[in-house]
Amino acid sequence: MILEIYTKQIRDFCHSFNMKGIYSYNWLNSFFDKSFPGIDKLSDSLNLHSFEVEEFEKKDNDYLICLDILPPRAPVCLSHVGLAKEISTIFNIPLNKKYFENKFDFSKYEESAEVKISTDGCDKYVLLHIDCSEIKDTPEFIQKRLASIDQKLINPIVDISNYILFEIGQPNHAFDKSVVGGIEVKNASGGETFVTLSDEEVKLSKDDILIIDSKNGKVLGLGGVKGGKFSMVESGTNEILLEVATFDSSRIRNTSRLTGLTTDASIRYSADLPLELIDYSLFYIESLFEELGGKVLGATKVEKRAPEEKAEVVLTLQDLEKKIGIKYSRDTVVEILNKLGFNYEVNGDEFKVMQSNERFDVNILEDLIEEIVRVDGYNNVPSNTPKKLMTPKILKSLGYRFKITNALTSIGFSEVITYTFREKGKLCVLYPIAEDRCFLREDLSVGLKEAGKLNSHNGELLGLGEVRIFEFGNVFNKLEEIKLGMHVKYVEGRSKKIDYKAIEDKIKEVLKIEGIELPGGFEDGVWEINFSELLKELKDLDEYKFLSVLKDVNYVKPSKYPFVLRDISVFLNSRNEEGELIKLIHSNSGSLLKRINPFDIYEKDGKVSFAFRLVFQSETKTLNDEAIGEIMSGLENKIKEVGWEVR
Amino acid sequence: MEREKGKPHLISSLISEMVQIFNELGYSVADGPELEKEYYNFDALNIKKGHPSREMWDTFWIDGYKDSLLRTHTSNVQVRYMEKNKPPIYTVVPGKVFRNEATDSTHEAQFFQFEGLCIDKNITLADLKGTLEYLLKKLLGEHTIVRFRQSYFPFTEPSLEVDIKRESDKNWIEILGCGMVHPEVLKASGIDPKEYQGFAFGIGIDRVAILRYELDDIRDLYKADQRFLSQF
Repeated sequence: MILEIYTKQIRDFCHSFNMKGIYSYNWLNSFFDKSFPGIDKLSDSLNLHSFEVEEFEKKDNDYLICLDILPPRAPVCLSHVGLAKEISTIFNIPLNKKYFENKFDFSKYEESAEVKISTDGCDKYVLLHIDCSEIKDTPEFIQKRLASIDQKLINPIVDISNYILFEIGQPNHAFDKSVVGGIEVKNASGGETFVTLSDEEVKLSKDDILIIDSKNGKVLGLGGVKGGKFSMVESGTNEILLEVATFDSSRIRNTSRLTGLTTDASIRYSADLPLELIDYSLFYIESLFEELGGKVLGATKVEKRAPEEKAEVVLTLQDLEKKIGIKYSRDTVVEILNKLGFNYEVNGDEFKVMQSNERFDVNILEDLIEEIVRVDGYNNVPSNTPKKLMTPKILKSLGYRFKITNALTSIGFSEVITYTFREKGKLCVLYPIAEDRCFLREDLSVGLKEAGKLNSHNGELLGLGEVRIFEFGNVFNKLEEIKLGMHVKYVEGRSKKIDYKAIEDKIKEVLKIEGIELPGGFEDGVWEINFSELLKELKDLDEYKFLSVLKDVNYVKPSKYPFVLRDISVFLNSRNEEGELIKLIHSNSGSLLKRINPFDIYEKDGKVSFAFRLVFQSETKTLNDEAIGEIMSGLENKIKEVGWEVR
Repeated sequence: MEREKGKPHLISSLISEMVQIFNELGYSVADGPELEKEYYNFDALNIKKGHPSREMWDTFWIDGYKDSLLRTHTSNVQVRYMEKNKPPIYTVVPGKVFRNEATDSTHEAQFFQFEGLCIDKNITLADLKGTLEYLLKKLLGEHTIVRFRQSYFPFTEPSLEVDIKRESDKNWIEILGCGMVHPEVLKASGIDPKEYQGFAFGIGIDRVAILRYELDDIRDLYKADQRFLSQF
């Protein structure tokens, strides 16, 4: 369900820090008088030019659209007006009203109340004093809009406050003026408890920002996140103090994470709301309240820094062509800048562009180039076939890694990749993912031995005579180094005696061919070599011997049910009959037979005894003795029918 | 019993395949540390202090060493390479990277990435598109359709994401991120962005494995279980 996506933290390589926005199709449509695109066209175009559409879902006669908003666009586009502007640009259809063109005029008003900022986590705080006595009910159109995005109705003032947030993207909070003397924004001490207006109890840390009553120190809210119960607005509240502010994005992100509270306000503050937008938001808020029968009576602002001057960006058609690889015509650039609503001067091929009032993310030439190319469409950029323009250098470590891999695999070793995180070590990480994964490994042997045990247990299922594995990996001691580790282990149920010396000799033999001499040998089943050191002794390479790739693999998930082993020994007349016996076993054991592993051969009285270990496994259930017993009896009978003796 | 041949890990095989594709195009392979200084993992890549990825939640910071971490991408190696080499630069960096995330069937705390960097006098977005289309068709099949769309990364501008659709896919599948290297990144490594420009891209090797072999759990790649590994 779409709102589950909204509240779930979806983390993915590209999307970890994108913000999810929820929009009503009809609400977006209301900003346009004509030719608003259908939902499919809207979704496809936004996907290509602007933001990834996570999902859209039919809801009565509307659609709910969930978008992944890119971080620099979040302050503007996590709102219906902001997204409508983007749609206006992409589809070249004009908005029917102007937004973010006029600033609030503070000179019209007296102060609303005292405001103090004693934290560096708040750059601008505005408090409006608004008389809401004439606003008896939540206006019809606001009820409709909030319902369209599944927002609950609370009371007229809170509903208007929410509407403002979803319409223009400015978080704001209403305090009951009758119980608040003034506002101070300060840091929490750390350790105190705060109860939200929905009765959630959270413990605070010293990085959290508190909104308190400047007259009596009473806590009114958790800054940037949620208000407290005490000063909350109810039906019948006549006068409010409306907070319109911005807070430090990292602090709000931290507060949200540590308290577990995520709100529509905290999401927007976490995206970094520039203080330059506030005066435009205030103009809208003033107009809206007055339209609804309210009256702004006072306004106080505290600003920790002045708004930044907007930068001018100079772009030439040559800059565009050089970066992108095709020519854009003057007309095309003019058209796109108009669609974007940017002010500019054009002189020949040179454009001097002022940002629009909200685009604080367009500061340098490359930002502007991106705007032009994305609006025009990345599909219009050709794809140049790559050509080889340099002779590559061969990375020694990789070249020898391939050589060693090829050599080891040729003698039955298989490569594993194990975890860097272990239970013990010298260096450990902050906030590990698990208690036994705190430390960085100092060697490969611990991981290899664990892997050896696992594969030893499954050895018969795998048809292994022995477990032979190796790994290349970085380990962390005084220095970070690359190690090569090799491990040999017996298969469970087989002889524990391994001829390590013979295996060592074989390894040395295949590596000698490649000009590689490994120091040391197996110790307690593991042979670990400092590969970084070894490389210093080896000569440079002039080409890679690449590994081969299996492209047509039909991956089958291994069964989670245990396998069962049964041994069978048969006296044959000669070794030549082995193939026949194996064929017979195959045809008479059913589909549960997964392996026929040779176990033993010996000659006695002119006959040859072959012993096999049969491996049975089901994909759907644990096998019982009876079922296997039946298969074995049947098999033994068939063998006897042919004339062989079963031992 | 005749000994069967062993096998490389499927990630190694994929690395070999991808290195071979780029080796033929003249790209050199670079390598570097997994345990890295925050400068090389963040600052040099225009990921400023205050960016969410720098916080303690998503990155493995080393206890007791306040500016050391396990790299979250192999871009650290690209930065080091740019500091030591003048353009033209054609490099790829395969390697293990680390993200401090809850693990599940599509997320692991360690996985493998393959990054590419191409910096020269006239490398354009059109070159980026062509190179990536070439790579994806080689990796996933000649009939793979490739789509580029708008995205954002602090270290590239413009930034794009690439989706693919193979014959068997109903929907587009996101596969990698890329873009034109941000001028601040070039400057930080001593390269003049007025003289040189180029592209960078990064693809999760695990993701390619999951797509190509229809795997259902990324964690299987690191359990060292031969019931899984021997199939590749």
